[in-house]
Order: sequence, then C-alpha cells, then structure tokens
Amino acid sequence: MKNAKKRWAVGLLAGFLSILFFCAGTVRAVDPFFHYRAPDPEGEVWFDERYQAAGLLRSQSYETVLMGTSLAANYRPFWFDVFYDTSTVKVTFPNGGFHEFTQALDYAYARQDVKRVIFGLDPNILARPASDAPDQLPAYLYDDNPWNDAEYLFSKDVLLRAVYAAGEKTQGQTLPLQDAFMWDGSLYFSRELALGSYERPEIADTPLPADAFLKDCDKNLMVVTSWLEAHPDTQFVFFLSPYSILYWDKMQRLGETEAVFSLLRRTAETLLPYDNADLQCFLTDTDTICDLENYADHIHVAGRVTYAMSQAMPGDEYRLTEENYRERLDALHAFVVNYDYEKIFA
Amino acid sequence: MGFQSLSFLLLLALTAVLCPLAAKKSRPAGIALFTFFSVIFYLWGLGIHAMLGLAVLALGSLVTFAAARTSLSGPEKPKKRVLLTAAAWHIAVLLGFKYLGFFTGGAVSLGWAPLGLSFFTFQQLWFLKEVGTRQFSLSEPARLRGDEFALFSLFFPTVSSGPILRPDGFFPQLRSENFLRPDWDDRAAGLYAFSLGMAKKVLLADSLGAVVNGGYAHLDGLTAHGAWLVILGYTLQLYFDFSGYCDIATGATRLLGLRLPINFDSPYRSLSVGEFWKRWHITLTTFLRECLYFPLGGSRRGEMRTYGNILLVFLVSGFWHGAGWTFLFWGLLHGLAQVAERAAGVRLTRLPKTLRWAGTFLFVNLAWVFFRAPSLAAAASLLRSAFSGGAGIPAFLTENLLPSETTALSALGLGPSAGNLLLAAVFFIALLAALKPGNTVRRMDTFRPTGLRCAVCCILLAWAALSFSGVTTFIYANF
Repeated sequence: MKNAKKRWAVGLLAGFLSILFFCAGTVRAVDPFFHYRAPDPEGEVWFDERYQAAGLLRSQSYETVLMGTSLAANYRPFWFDVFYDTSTVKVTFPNGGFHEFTQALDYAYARQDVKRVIFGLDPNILARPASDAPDQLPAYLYDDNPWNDAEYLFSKDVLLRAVYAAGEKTQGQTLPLQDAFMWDGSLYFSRELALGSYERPEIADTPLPADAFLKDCDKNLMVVTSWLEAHPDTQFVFFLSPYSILYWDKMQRLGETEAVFSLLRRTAETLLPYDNADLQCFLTDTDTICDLENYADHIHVAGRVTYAMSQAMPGDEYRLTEENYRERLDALHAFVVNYDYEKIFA
Repeated sequence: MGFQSLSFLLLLALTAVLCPLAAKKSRPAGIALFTFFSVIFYLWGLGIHAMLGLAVLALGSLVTFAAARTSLSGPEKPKKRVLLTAAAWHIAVLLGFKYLGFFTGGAVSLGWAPLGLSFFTFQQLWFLKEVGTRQFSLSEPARLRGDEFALFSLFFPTVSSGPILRPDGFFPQLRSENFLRPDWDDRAAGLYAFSLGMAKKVLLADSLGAVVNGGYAHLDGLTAHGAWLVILGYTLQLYFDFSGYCDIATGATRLLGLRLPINFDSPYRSLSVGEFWKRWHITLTTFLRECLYFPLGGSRRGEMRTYGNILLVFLVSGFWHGAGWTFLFWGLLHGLAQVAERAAGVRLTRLPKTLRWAGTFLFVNLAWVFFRAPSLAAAASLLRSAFSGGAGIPAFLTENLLPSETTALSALGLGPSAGNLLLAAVFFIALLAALKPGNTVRRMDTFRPTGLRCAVCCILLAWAALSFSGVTTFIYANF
C-alpha cells in the first residue's frame, strides 16, 4: 500500500508538472502576446489590444506613440510616419482608462526615446469618473520582470489564445501590423447604419448643471497634465474626434450640451498653456459631423475621415489656441444649439 | 499571499522540502523555518498593511503567550485576571479594527484590518480559555515553548481563513513523530485533498461567483429563474469557496505531517438547522459553544435562558462574519430557526426526511441572501425577484462564466448555447459534489490510489493552477 500511495503521489506530481510545462512550452513557442519576439509586420493574429500592445511597445522602434480609445483605432501608423516624418507605434485600448494609458506610456518611455504622443482625447472618457474606468492592463506584460512571466506562461487563457493564434496563422488568417486592431474594414459606414444604431433618448425634464462633468474632468485632466509635466521634451498632440450630429442630438435631448461645452472649455484652458501640448479639435468640422454617411453610430467615424484628420493634424486648420478656442467652441455651441435635428429623422 | 497563486505553490513546495530537511538536523530548526515561511506567506505582495498586520498579530501573540506564562507561573490555579486582561486586549483589537466604523456610523474607521484578524482573535481566545480551564494538556510553563506558540499563531495554512485551531489539537502534534516527517501516506493524502480543494475553490466556487456577481450587479433585471440561480449559486459558491480553502489548508498541512480538524462535513445534507451547524464551519461552532454558550449556562438554566443563549451565540456569529446589519440579520435568522426547532422538539423528527432536508436547504439558501447582499434592501430586491420576477435566464448571468471554456466550446461548434450549457454543467456538478455523502477530508486516508483517480486529481489541479492568471475578455472589444 505504501508503494501504491508513493506511486500515486509521484504520478500526480509528474502529471501536474508535465501539463504545466506543456502549457508553458506552447505559449513560449507561439507567444501570442509578443512577449519574447517581435510581431511579423507582414501578418499576425491580432485579437486583444490590452494584452498585445505591451509586445508592440517593447519590440518596435518608434519615436511617436499613437494612443487612445476605440476612436483612435482606425488610424494606420504609417500615415503619421508620412505626415510627421516619424516612426509610429499604435496603442489603443477600447474604452481605455487614464490609468491604463499612463501605464502604457510609462512602459513606452522605459523602452524608447518617445518624441511625440498623439492622443485621441475622447470627451466621453474625460467626463467619466475614475472609479468607472477600466484598469485591466496585465502588469506582468508591461514590465521587464522575468519572474512574473509565470503568469503569462502558466495560464490556460493564454494557452487557448496561443492555440487560436497558431490555428489562424496556419490558415493564413492574419493581418499586417499596419492593420492591427482596425475595425473599420469589418463595418459599414452609412447614414442608414448610423441612424439604425442610434437610440434617440427622451427629452430630459431638467438639463444637467453646466458644471456636472467638471469634477471628474479635472481629475482626468490632472493625469494628462502629469504626462505633460513629466515629459516636457515630448510633443503631445491631443485630438478631439468629430462626434456626429447625432451625438449632439443626444446631448440636447438629455440636457447635457452645456455640461459638455464646459468640459471642452476646461480641457482647452487646462492644456493650452503647456508649450508641449497641441489640441486639434475636429469636433468643429460641421461638414463632417453632419454627413452621417461617415458614421457607424453616433460617434465612430469611417477610415476616410480618420485619414483626412491624420493628414490635417500637423497643420493649423483645426488647432485650438489660447486665442481662438473660445470663438471656435462658441461657434460650435451656437451650431449645435440651433440645429434643426428633426430634419435628420424626417 | 493567496492560495490561488503560483507563488503559493512554490512556497508550499519549498516548505514541504526544506522544513523536513531542517527538522532532520533539529526539530526547533524545522519549526523556525516553518514560521519563517509563514511570515513570508503573510507579507507576500500585500505591502505596508501586511507589515503592520503582522506586527499586530505578533503583538497579540506576545500578549497571549506572556499572559499564559504568567498565569501558570505558580503552583496554584491559573490567574484568571491575567488571562481575562489578555482576552480583553484581543477583543478590543478586533473591535477597533473591524467594528469601529459600524459603531460610529462610519464617522471613525481605520479603513483596514490585519489579514485573518477574526480567526486569529478567536484562536487566541480559545488558547487563553483552555489555559484557564486547564483543558490544555501542556499547561505547564516549562512545556509551553515560544517557537511553537509563534508557529501556532502564524501557521500559514490557516492564518488567513482558518480553520480555527484548538490548542490541544495542535501543540501535541508538534511533538509527534510525524511532524515534519511525513511518509508517503501523508503526502498522497495531502495531494488528494489539495487537488480537490483547488478544484472546488478555483473551478467551482469562482465560476459560481461569476454568476452570482452578475446577478447582484443587475438586481433590477433579474427574472425569477435568474434570482433562484443567484440564490442557489451563492449557497454553492460559499460552500465550495470555504470548504475548498479548508481542503487546501488540510492538504498543505498534511504534506508536513500535521492534521487539521474537519471544518465541513457535507452540511447541505443536513435535516435541520441545528444539524447544519454541526456540519458547517465546525471549528467556529465548537469555539462558540465552548467559549460562549457553555459559559453563559448553555441549556442548563431553563428554557427561556437557553433560547436567549442560542440567539446571543448566533448574533455574535453573525457579527463576527461582518460588521453590518445584513450579517446580524443572518445570524438572527439562524438563531430563531434553532430556537423554533428546539421548541418543536421531537415533532419535527417525525416528518419525512425528504421534507426536513428540503425545508432546511431552502431556509439555508434564503438566509444566505442576507449574508451576501450588500444591504437589506438589495436582499429584499433579490427575494422579490425570486417570487415575482418573469421567466428566462438573463444573459448577464453567463457573461463572465468560464470565458475561455465558453469561447473554446463555441469555436467547437456549440455556438451561443455554450454559455448556458456550461452554466447547467457547473450547477449540476456543484450540486452533486455538495450533496453526495462523505467529504474530502474523511476520504484522505481511505481513498484507493487508482490510476484514474490520479489522472482526475492531476487534471483538476493543473486546470486550477492554469486558471490562476486569467485573460480578461472585454464586452466592448468590438470597438
């Protein structure tokens, strides 16, 4: 019996360790999150920004980091390479939180000499309380500590993704690095679709106070200004994506328009005094925002528009300055307050 | 450090290999190394609060040890005043850290408490009580060793969540032949309990937890079916969470040649609430019976006094579990149920067993609602949905249930039904495991070491270990 128990215990331990090391070996060989290798620029399986971005930040050679939420995902890095004469890596997190962006930026600075950060400053995330923001970047990928790699190597979730990535690669289901995490190819952008996905809210009884978002906005902007202050030699280009006229219809009906404009003014007032901050405001492009053929929903915009925006970003056409921001935001305010929204739905 | 981590597996492996080696040279060296690993376990990854918490526990241990030595210093009876002062210290520390906020309406609160303070406090009180009543067989100062007491206080398999160690069940083992000299029977038994405990905790309890958390996050959207799934899910989650933890602790302890007391004995098979408490968290029930119920007079001072004592014990139990009205209400419900059972006497035992089991199980399920709910209003909302909600299973209940397994099953052709299939499988397996006779700790010494059992334990342990580090799936990933 003693020998039987010994064989049983040794067998269990041997089997357990074999399964663990099989998992680690498979993950190490496929390396779906690019922890030990650079991604093949010609074709990789891209499936999770938060887990694969660390590998991009570590393995790529770049001066410029393009960062933001899903609104920044439909930009190809080489556009900025051309328009800014630079080398760009794109790191976007759907619905990303400021703590996540800080974590990724810190890692980028630890790995490369970052000269420029182009950041999609989404008013929705500026207005969001920090407690509601996701904070889900896997710390073990965003550092160079080899000890916590065990969390990567010994994980059934990663193993599953390794098997998936290997399978997709075998079948040629890959995308080049430039197309990583782009989703505009899998969606149509049209007036019909934009309207179809838009749920027009009921008119609110009382509008939100103008300062409703400012408390959270200030906290979020403190994070942004901490980047500006920590990296005075880096040029930060913040861009406000052109939310469609449906967004403003929603704000008007919910009584949130004044609160959003207070947030936009506070953002400009806070960022513009910094020498290393540019603020590009595409919200004011009324031709684009009123053409619903450009949209998949009330905020997400087609690739043709993002290309035009990336082309315009180095220029002055949409740049807010301390001199012009009041005038431009006031003009947009007058436009959205006086717009005849009913004609959209007629 | 949590049990659910690769760091813990490594620490346990080091302890299981190095402590017996050290003990071969000298037993005190083995104890010192074991205590050192216990300190590492306590401090690992928890920052400044873990260091402060360790200091609080170390100071508390010193208070108990000094009180015990002083109390036993003379030939006469133990000096009870010294022991009572030490007990008051422990109660004051527990109240200060965990209940100050409750008593001051949140105006004053330390905002943190040392890890495992509730268990530590009861364990120290039990020690003081057994020294005071001379129940503790080593109640001579010369035999009470500081290094052994330090290990008793910081013993890593139990320091964070029990079982509460009874002094007379622990110290004599430190002087037994098996301590830090496990044989292959011990190792096989330890690995058996450890594997099944990990599977209970990681694969069952955490999966059920995903369903329960989904339900509590969407109380307004729950249907009646959904609400009952949440209620039953929490009943099973709590059992597998805590009993899984105890199995892991028991298995880890056995790998070092020690045994822990049975803490769970198939409680959901109980035919009455009184029996439930003889099977659920047995060490806590025993502590409360011996250190509170008996000193209050137990059942020897008349019927009304007995009922009062039962209610008091269960109110204390509720309050010990958490500083909130929901816990007090849960304790009150259990106290009242036991009073009602006692008042009904033998009439209840004449009912059919199936009816008694169903009534007990339903009561325990409903009472757990108050234990889990963040507020009495949330508990009421869940119960309202259970009795008046619509039909169907809301999608949010399966949203975070075994996401990788769901994805894999979907890819294998099960499509969107994979989530519901896994939900059914998890509940079926959990119910079966909770209601079948016997339990892991009892089977540790009697199981047959077959190849199939080895393969099952191996796969369960590996599956659990590979689940420690998960990849979050984001609902918003489409954009």
